[in-house]
Amino acid sequence: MDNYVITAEKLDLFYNSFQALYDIDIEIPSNRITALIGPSGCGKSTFLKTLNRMNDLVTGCRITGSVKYNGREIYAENDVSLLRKNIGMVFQKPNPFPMSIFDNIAYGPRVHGVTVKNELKNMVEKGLRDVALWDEVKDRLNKSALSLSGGQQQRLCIARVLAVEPDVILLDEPTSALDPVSTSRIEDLLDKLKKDYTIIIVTHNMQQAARISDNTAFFLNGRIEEYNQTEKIFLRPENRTTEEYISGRFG
Amino acid sequence: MEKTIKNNKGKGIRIFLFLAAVMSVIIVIFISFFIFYRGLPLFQKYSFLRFVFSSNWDPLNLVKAEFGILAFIAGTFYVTGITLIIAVPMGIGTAVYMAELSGNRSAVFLRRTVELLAGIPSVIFGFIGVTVISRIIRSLFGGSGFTVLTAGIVLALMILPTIISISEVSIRSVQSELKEGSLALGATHLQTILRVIIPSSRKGIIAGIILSIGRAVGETMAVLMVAGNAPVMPDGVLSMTRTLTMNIVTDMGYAEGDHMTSLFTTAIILFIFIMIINITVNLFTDRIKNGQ
Amino acid sequence: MGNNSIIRKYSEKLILFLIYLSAVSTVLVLFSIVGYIVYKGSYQKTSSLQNIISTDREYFNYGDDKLLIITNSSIKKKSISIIELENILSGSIKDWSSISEQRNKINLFLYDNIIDRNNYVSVKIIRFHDIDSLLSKISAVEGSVGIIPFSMKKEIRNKKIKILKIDTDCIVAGHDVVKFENNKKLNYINEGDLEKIINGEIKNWSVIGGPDIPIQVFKKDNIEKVQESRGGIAVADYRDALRLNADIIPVKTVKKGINLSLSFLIQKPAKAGRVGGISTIILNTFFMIILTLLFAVPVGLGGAIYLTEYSADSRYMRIIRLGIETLAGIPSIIFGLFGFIFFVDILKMGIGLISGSLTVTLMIIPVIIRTSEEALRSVPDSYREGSLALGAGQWYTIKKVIIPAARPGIISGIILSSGRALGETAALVFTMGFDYRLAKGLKSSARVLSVHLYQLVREGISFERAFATALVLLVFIFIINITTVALTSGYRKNGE
Repeated sequence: MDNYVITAEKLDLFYNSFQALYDIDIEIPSNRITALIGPSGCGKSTFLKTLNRMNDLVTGCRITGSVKYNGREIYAENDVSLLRKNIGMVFQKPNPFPMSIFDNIAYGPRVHGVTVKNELKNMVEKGLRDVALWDEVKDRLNKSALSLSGGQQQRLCIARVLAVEPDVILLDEPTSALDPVSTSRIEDLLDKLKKDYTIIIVTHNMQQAARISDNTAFFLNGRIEEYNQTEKIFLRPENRTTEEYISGRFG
Repeated sequence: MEKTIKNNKGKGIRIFLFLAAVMSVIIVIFISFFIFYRGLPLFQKYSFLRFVFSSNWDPLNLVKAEFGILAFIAGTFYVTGITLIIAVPMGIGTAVYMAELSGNRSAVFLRRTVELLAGIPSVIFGFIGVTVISRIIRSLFGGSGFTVLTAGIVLALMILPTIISISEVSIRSVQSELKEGSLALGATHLQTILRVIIPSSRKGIIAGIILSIGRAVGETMAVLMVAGNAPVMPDGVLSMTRTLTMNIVTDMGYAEGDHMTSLFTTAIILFIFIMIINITVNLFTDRIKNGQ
Repeated sequence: MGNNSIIRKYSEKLILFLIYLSAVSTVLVLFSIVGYIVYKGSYQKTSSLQNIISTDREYFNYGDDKLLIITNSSIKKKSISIIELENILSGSIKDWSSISEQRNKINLFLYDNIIDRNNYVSVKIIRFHDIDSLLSKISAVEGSVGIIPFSMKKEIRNKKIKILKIDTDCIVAGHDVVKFENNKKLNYINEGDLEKIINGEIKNWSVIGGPDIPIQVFKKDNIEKVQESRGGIAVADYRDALRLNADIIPVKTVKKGINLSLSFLIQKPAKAGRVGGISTIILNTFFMIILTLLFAVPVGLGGAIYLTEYSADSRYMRIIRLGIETLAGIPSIIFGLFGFIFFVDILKMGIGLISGSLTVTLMIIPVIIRTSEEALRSVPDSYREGSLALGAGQWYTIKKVIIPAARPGIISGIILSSGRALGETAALVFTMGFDYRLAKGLKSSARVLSVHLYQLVREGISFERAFATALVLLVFIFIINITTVALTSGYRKNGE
């Protein structure tokens, strides 16, 4: 029996008068990788950003219906910082801060009030080990994070999220800007991480979704067309449009 | 035949445009040359070290005239320091508010305000210094009211627009990905501003501050009206002072001989300071352009 | 941990408040500067201490004679004081400037043998023995003053003659009222308090800051009695009070009214700006700006065109850019010195309009280059390509396509730089001088508004006039600012 971390019911989302999401119903199980797929502009990224309220930054964004994290309404939450601490996010383009590698990882713990140097050191090391970056950068922790390669930068960004000890990690096309080798390293990493975290990943790459995810939701025109175990979606889709999309006939 | 005329005309225009473009370079060279040409002869009679490191300014002494400008260099630094202490926090705060915290409308309103403030002539700032600020200083601390502090406040108001507009531009140019990254880690908006946005726009902000130091050091009329113009070493924020620019203007009307030359020599020192500041700003903005 | 987060929450609020405060204070600074100058420039409230009080009387006693002062109706002033009259009679006041802010000369016409004193030798007095010819003389000569017996008032029928009222009285008090005691002294009486004292509403000197002595009001001209009395006060003829060496208390009067008047704008200045207006100074300012733009626009615009349209010669670009940046950073006092050495001295142009304008030209060239360059760069490349593809030459394309497209931006840059020229002071002091008369030629010294403001403040001539001048300057700056904003926003809209 799965334990559902995030549940959405009858969720509609508007940007001013434009409706971006229609009637979203979804239950996301813990310690699984859930992939969100669909053509550009289908609303999958918008839905992802709803979960940690990054949509708050967009003026004119309005939401109706219910979206819950551990049974509590996300949009009724007062402490957005705490919500975002619990639901971390990795972006499409690696976005390390223009500071040292160490400071990048320590950034999250610091803003949440950790000031003890040793504690920070341990957290940085743990985060970097978790993403298998430790051995590559342990001698240059004080170098600028911008000196790392793209793949390293993205793993650093994942480590940065891990360092605030989240529960759920949202990834918005995390490998679309990376080379194949870096991509496969990140995929391996995600597979390891699902033991401890619930992972939701938006991807354009059908093979990636098939390779790493347990469940897949197919978004189209702001609706979820189909949501099921990944295997079923890719092998025996119930919906004709899902099949057409997966087989590459559109999108 | 017609074509050659046309070509010649094109060539003539091109030469004119080129001359117009290099005019700035020519003017800079001319200015440097003439300021040095008129100021340097002082060192044939008076040692450079004494000029810069003595605070004994007695140009009219018939027995032995003294031309030490250390007090004016100190005055310039002192006034500029006070100016920065006031203007930098206020300017960066305003820029942060405009770029990050205010709505679109109030940002536009603030920008218009800053533009207008930038357009007010220095002599009006000096006048406000005389009629308002010096009176406040006088009633608070006694004395004449014409002090280092008064000049610092007046200059702070004058350089505020420079700091604000340059800081605002560099804060706005911080990539939104960085801001989102910080917020997604659970940092509050303010934490994001203080720990990511301001550090990322640091270079631009510093360039703005250096540029405004140049303004403050070179400003003449406003400080002349409010700084008290005493040619002695300032010994506190409430003492009267004379800056390099003030020293040039004050005696210009009647100075003769070595005295006159010494005013141009003062201008050389001022010019060198300004050049150092200009070059620093250029280095900074070049680096920003190169994306470092 | 909970404690910590509360502290953090409140320190966040504090910092946000400080940021907000800095933005608000920036706005407040501008509004208070502008508001203060608008207020003080348009409205004046000046208090002055005067020995002579206003009594609104038509005649004055001179020895045994009762005399009347008449003047040509061109004089605006309604009354003069006995001190001013004495100064006119003694020749130390020769024109109306200090009395009525008018520049007319004073011609003194006396009837027959009144005020027959031979010590007024320095002043030219014309005596008439026939009242009609005296009156017709006064009606004909602007600024003339006549003194006639009061009994002849009915002879005045000409509308061009008006009666000038005269104030002769002052306030005298007992010596114990004005003596220096307990580190203070009654320096003056407010005009309003004086009335209350005479009416008996104020009964003790301590009420108005004097010693604790009851007030005794004496009848007019009881100077000796007042002097002997304790706490006495009386109205008395100023000349008698002086003669008897009485203690005169000045009266503080407050004058309210419009500061920046139309006449201030259209009159010529005189007496270092103490009287008259600023019309010639405004004109000089315009001359300076027009001359400056005449020099600066071709060079600045030309430079900008070269930088944007001919950038093929990029090896010079770095040096040219460095030159522009450097020039923009040089303080105006250095430009002033350079102008003084080069234009005034070496080129022998002298201190005047041409030297000043050329100096300011050097200062605003970088501004014009920058703004024009921005405007030219915002013209889409498709315009250039379109024109060149039709076989038009490069200069033709620039002239007919690019400059017209960039015109609003270029013009707003030019207006912006004329704002810089308008506000310039330090560079003009040594190159254009202080002469507030209308410039007669390119080499004549000419004072501009900013320099005038500086002079008024530095010489302590008049803060009221300085405020009025500052207001005029500010209004011009406003107009320039609004025009630039309007031009560029209209431009942006068109571009979209």
